[in-house]
Amino acid sequence: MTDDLDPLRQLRPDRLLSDDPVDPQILARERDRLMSTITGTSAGAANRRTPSIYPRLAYQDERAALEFLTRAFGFRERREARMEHPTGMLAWLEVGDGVVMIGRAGENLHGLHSPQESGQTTMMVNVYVDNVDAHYRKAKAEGARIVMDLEDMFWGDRRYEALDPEGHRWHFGERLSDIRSRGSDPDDQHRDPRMSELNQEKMMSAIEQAEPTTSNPPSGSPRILAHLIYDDVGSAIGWLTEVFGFGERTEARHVAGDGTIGRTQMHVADSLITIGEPSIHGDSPRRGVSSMLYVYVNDVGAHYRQAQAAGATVVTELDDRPWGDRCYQAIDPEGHQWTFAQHVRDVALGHDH
Amino acid sequence: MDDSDGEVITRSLADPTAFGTLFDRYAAMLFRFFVRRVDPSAADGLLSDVFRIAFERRSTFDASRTTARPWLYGIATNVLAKHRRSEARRLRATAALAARRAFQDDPAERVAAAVDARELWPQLAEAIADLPAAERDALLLFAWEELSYDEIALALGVPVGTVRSRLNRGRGRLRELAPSSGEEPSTVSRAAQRGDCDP
Repeated sequence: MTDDLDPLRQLRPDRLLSDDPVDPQILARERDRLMSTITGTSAGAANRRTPSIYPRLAYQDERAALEFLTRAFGFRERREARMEHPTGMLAWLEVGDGVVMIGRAGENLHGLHSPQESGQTTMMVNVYVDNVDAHYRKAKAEGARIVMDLEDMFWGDRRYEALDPEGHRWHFGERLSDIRSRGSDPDDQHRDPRMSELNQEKMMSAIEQAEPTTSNPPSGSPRILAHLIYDDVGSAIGWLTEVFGFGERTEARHVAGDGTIGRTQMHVADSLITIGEPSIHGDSPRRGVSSMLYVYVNDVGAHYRQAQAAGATVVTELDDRPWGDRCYQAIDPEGHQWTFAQHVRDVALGHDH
Repeated sequence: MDDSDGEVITRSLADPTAFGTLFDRYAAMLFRFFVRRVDPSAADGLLSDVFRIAFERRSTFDASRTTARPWLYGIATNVLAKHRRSEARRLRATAALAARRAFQDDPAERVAAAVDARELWPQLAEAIADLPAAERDALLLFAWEELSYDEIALALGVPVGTVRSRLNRGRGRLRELAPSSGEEPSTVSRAAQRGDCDP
């Protein structure tokens, strides 16, 4: 057909760019999602395929944050999980099987503050993505503030760090072994020219030791890994172990020359977090906390009793919630917020939260 | 012999899982529709919305119809309504790409034509972005999705005569953009004055 609409026809995006077939994985995932909605098994949608632990971040403008995080960082919203309240919106975003939740900041909303108000972050969110080079280019083009450029690191990750519009700090990485097995070399232009030969050597041995078929994220690590900041990491390890029943992965412990612990990893339920000293990554919650961690445990009643007996400051009592979770909230000695939950019943979609 | 869409939807009233067949038939088509119109990274979420809405409203589908294609395009068009800004961004980005390409592809002796093309594409994108949503939706269902007037009428829930007049208005504005007319700024301002007269 030739007529005055031809220029418009030529403007169809897939006539300009090669028309890739629709990713069958996307369709398969969306089909699963539809079928679980239809059969009602998606009830308690926020909990479906939810990892044992996921962070909640506070924003002054959570809708703008949602728009930014999906556009710049490629997160996908679980639309069926969204909750609209008079006091703001709660949204769940996912990347792979990792989940992060966002909500409005406020004293009465778990006392969570946007870094924009408090001037500091108290947690950094580490995310393993599937193509960190493409992720970096997209985030940069969309206006994310890059605070650490894309670099190959000696521990075998290629990573960068960015701030979102309200100042939450995000760390995006990919295993170098995965980049290699994907058949694409990391861009040389982004390689850190300052990287010492020693570091390169360590990095190469990290790559050599890795299984050729390693999966991203590395085995044992969740897709989204929360990094909490404590002034006194040693005391935090003791308290988290005693009160919340976490376990330290001592092989991940970094000790400074003066014997203080710089950072370590903690098992939480069947997931993992890292904790570390104040640094460019964040600060202890002196001026207000910017995040809360939501943790699924197998027996929240037992967990609650143990935490209370050990002296945890419970800020919300153990109770059943409309979204089908039984949970309680506590703060730790430096002020980080924790919610411990157990999913006890499925709630039909469309339930009035 | 495959069941018609009407039969599938009727069956899904008693057996909801039968609705999966409709997804298998139309998901790729609708995914492409969204990728053309908005930021591709939003397409899977919008696709998910369309099928959830379609499922909830399946009892309103006229089961005597053999195809659900226009009905699904109609739902998809409604779902787009909240993404007008993203739509305008996508149009501008596509136009910028088309302009660059025209400039590169043209041999040296046709530089003048290439310069025209370089200006034409962004003007076209602005004109489309400035159209009232109802006209843009009809025009793009016709030019990009290749729906017939009847199918567009079904999709948008308006009489065929309305589709025809929307398309004519849209065409008229694009015609004004022809490089010889030289009146492109007035086209844009007229569109702006007109405002978005969506219901």
